[in-house]
Order: sequence, then C-alpha cells, then structure tokens
Amino acid sequence: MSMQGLIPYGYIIASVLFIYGLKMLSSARTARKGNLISALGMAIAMGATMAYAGMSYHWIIIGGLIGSAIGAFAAKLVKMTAMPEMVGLFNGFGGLASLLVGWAEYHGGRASLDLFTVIAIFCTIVIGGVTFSGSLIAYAKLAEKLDGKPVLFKGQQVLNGAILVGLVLGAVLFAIDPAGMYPLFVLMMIVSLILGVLLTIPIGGADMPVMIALLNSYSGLAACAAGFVIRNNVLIVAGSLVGASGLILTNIMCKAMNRSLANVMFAGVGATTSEGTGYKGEANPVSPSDAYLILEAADSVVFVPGYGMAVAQAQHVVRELADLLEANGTDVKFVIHPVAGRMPGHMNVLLAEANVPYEQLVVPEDVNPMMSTVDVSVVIGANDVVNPAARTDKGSPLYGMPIIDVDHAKTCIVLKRSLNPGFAGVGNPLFFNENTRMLFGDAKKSISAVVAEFKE
Amino acid sequence: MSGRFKQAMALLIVSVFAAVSLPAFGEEAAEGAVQVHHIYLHVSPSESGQDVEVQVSVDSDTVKVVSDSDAVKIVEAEVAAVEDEAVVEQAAEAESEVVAPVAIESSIEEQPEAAQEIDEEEGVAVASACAVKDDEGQSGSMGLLFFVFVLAIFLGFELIAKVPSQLHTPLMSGSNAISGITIVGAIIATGLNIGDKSPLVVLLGGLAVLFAMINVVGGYLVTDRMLGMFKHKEGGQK
Repeated sequence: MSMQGLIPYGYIIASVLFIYGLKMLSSARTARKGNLISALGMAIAMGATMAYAGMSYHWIIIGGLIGSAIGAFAAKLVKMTAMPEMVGLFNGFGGLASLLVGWAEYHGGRASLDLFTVIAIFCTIVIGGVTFSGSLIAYAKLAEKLDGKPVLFKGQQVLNGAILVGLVLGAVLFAIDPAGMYPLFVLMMIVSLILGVLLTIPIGGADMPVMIALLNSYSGLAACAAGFVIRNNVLIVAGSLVGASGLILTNIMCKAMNRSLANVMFAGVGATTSEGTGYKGEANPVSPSDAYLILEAADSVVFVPGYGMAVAQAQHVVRELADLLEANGTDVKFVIHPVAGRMPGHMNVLLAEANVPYEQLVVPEDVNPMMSTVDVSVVIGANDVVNPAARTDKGSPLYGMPIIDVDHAKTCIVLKRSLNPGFAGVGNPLFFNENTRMLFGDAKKSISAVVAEFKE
Repeated sequence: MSGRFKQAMALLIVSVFAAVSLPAFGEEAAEGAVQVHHIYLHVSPSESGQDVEVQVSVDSDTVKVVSDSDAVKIVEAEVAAVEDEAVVEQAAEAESEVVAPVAIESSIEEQPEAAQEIDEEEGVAVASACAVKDDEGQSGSMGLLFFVFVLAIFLGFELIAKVPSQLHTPLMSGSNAISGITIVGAIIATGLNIGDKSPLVVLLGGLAVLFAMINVVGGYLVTDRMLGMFKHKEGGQK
C-alpha cells in the first residue's frame, strides 16, 4: 500500500474540496475562500498523481513551469475590460489539454483499447476540439480581432448537421477498428475543430455571454470524458461539476434574454441589419451641462451600464460621478442586466474594479417595480437590455426579453455615440421618447464633462 | 520441515499491487485488468537459508512474476484469473500433485496474503497469493464511473442552482480553473512509465500539461484577483 495506496484518498479529498469550493463560490461572502479551497483541491489532485510509482518528472516540470508562468502573467496583466476574452482563452486551453490527453492515450494504447475506452477517447477529442476552436473564435470576436457580427451563410445548419452525422459515423468506424484507424482519428480531430468554429461564428456579440457560458460547460465535459479514458474519478467529478455549473449559467443567460438555447445558437440575431431602421423620430440631444443640471436636481438616480461602458473604459468616471451624486444627497443605484456586456457578470466585474460597493448593484427585478419613482435613469452604453420594444413590439427580435424599464423613470439620459442601432442591430424606440435625453459622444468624455460641471 | 535435503528456506514475498487497491480509483487496475485469483510459484531448490524476494505485478492483462535473486529460479508460475474458472481448476489439479493442497484452499477467500509451503522432496516452494476482491469491486468499475458521473452532474446542478449575478464571472472563471483537472490525465500521459512510451506520447502529454497549467494557474489567479475587487461599502473585504 504505502504512498500508492494513498493516491485514491488524495483524489477523494480533492473531489470534496472542489465541491466545497464551488459551493462557496456561489455566495458573495465566501467566494474568495471557495476559490482558494478549490485551488487546494487541485494541488492535492496533482500531488497525488505525481506520487504514482514509475513517474518521471522532468517533462512534467518543464511543461508545468512554462504553463504556470504564462497563466500567472496573463492573470496578473489582463485588464478587467479584457476579462471576457481572457476567460474564453483559458477555457480553450482547458479543452485543448483534454484533447491532447485523449490523443496521447490513443497513441500510446491503441493496440489494446477496449470499446469503452475507445468511445471515451472519441468523446474527449470531439468535445475538447470544439471547446478549443470555439473558444479561440470567441476570444477573437471579443478581442475584436474578428468582426463581432454573426457570420451566417446558406446551408450552415445543413453543414453542421452533416458534420454531426459524419462524427457519429466516424465514431462507429473508429470503434470497430481503433488501431487501424489512425488517419480517421486525425481527421475526426480536425473535423471537431472545424465544428467548434462553425458553432461559434454565428454568435453575435450580444449573445456572447451565452456562448462563453456554454463553452465553459464544454471544457468541463471534455475533462470529464478524459476521466473516462483514464478511468479516474476525480476528473469525472470535477469535470461534471464544471459541466453542470456552465449549463446553469447558460440557462440563466438564456432566460435573461427570453430565448431558447437553440435560438441563440442558430438564429444569429443581428445578421440582418435591415431590421434596425424600424424606429424614427426626433431625438432630444442634451449637453453635459444640461445633464448636470438634471442630475443635480435628482433625488434618486439609477445607472444602467452596458458594453459601451466597457469599451469606453468609463467605469472609473462613472464611479466618480456616483460618489459626487451621493455626496449631494442623491440615492444612487446601479442596475445590472444579466446579459449586459460580453460575458456573464461582466458589468459587475468592471464596477467592482472601479470600487463600486456591491450593495449599490441591484438586479432589474428589484428596480423595475419602483422605476416610476426614480428621477433619472442614466443609460451608459447599454442598448438592447433597455429597449422598450422588447415589451411592446411583437415584431421585434427582442420581444419578450426581460428589460430594465428605464423609460419609466421621470427622465432618462442615454449616453451613446450615435443613433445607430446596437450590437444586435435592432432599432430602439427609447431614443425618441419624450422624456429621453440623448448625450452624444464617447461615454468617458461625456461623464468626465458632467463630473467637471459638478466640481465647479 | 527440516530434512536431509538442503533446507530450501525461501521466503516469498508476494505483493500484488493493482488488484488489491480499490479498482475504481486506481486507473491501472480498472476493468480489463486481470483479477488475480491465485498465483502458484514453483521455485527451484535454493542454497540454505536463502531469502528470495519475488515480485508479482499485475498489469492490464498480464501478470509478471520476477525473482531478484540468481540463486533461485522460478521454475514455473501459474496464475489463475477470476474470470477464467477453467484455469483455476486446472491449476488446482496440477497443484495437488506437487504439493499439499493446504495453501490453495486457505488462500482462496483470504485477503491478499502470501502463504508458503516447502516440498522437501523436490525442493519446490509454492506460494499462493490471493487477491480476490468481491465481484462488485471489479465489474463495477465501469458502471461505477458512470454512477459517479451522474451523481456529480446532479450534485453540480443542486450545488449552484442560485447564483447572484455579481458572481457570474468569478463562478465561471473559477469553475473554468477546475476544468483544468485534466492536468491529472496530462501528468499520467507525460510521466508514468516513461520508458515504455513513444516520444510522441510524451510530447502530447507535455503539451497537455503546459496548456492545462495555463488554465489552472491563470484561472485561479484571475478569479482571486477579481474577487479581491468585490468590496463592501464599509471597506471590509470579504
């Protein structure tokens, strides 16, 4: 027994720590500790694995050190505004690692694989491949290295369907003769990488939170499949926990948009920009000094941030403005829509970076009923999540999506660069409302101007 | 036990690794591996007082019996697997001709242990080891993996059904770091029994270690950094 006998117990302890860590991560008070506990679980799982008899360490240490260094630097240096693409990229690397594990197990043991392992290897490379290439595309879109607009072409669904059928056929052939099918194996890896690309390109920027959450789930399932390959319970437990949590987040995101996952995945909202011209009218522009006067007189103000705030990096000046308003005796809240931004919780992270205490952050359900008592709502770079058409216009692609009712406030100030429709390309009647004031320009500059007025 | 013959005091240490440890958790002794029922070792006469160590290792489908000592040779080793009843019987028959059958019977139901019996006439030492676990442990390994999988999925759903939206990003990046658990598979692929591996496997494994570590280290650090920013109004940081 000795060390060897203890390895399984190390894995059990690691699994328990993952469960506890994840549980603690879902509550604000304990989240940070939960993250550390799950990191401890990871360390124990790695330590236990290193204790196997017949382990040589040099390549592990070399690979591990390089990977750790890259990971640590990236984590330290990443800007909070770049968080969505960073999370997407890390995610992709997890999928790639699982794919490589599946490949290594296949290459090393292909002469003597049983059916069960063959199927598990197949699942590992397919899920891992889709996770990797899908995350890379998501990363490129979020980092604006690729156009964020959905890419749709004729026969896309047919092609995806054909690829899925092809993968199933490949799986059958592969299962019949695993050792002799090396070329097929390589082909399947390539096909799953292509599939990941095809599944991600039709996702528009506004739908990215759903895709990121889904890819997160896939990376867990890939690890889980790798667990079936090497028959290791800790991979299966940890992988399926991640798979489940990713699916829950995906579901939350879909609900926040009142759309089914299939609709998000395949409809490609925003591909047709012609819809965006539906609303016309006279917008009421306002200058920063007028905006200052409106805000200065208000007793209660809600800010509604969106992706535009992230792009303009305006979170710090927004916090400054909020502080000034509070000092002025105004009640300030930030209303955050679940799908605002490009990943789940994106706005929360930005505002936290700007030191906005999270007691000030509220969810739409809590504010909407009281919106008519709010003096001023300030929309900063958000569009679809405040589009009243979602409530009223059955023809709008957004119809049915729960929104923040900023138009119910006494006055609504919208910060926007122009009257162009938002990312989803859907026109917004809010801009032409009587009680809406448009503050055109870069959000950061506009808010800074208002702050300057306050300070005078 | 003493006799006219040179005392062949051979101490046989039989260690059966894989089948003994819990099959469900060790990836080596999983389904498909030989589940050893008994091992009979026929050892040639040795010099007096010699201690002989015999290593028995069970791999996925082969059983290796190796003696370290030059003084004693393993004349014959018979291994009976659990699945193969015929082999067990055959072995038992052959056995009864050579030595007293005591060792066989006593060992069948016992937990792993080594018994030894010396035949004075022929100078044959027979050891039988039994590493039989109950059937659940073996046939269950594949089913058990699925069982664990299904339970963990349900546990995951129950565990995080409600998440405040503030924590969506940290939960995602934190769970993303957990998905780096594939590092365990990467370590095994890279380093375990490296001598038997082709360079490509080690290369693939090493790359897997690299990418998994980016995911693990980066994921945990970035989550911690993010959570460190979530502050309460009082300035207290929790």
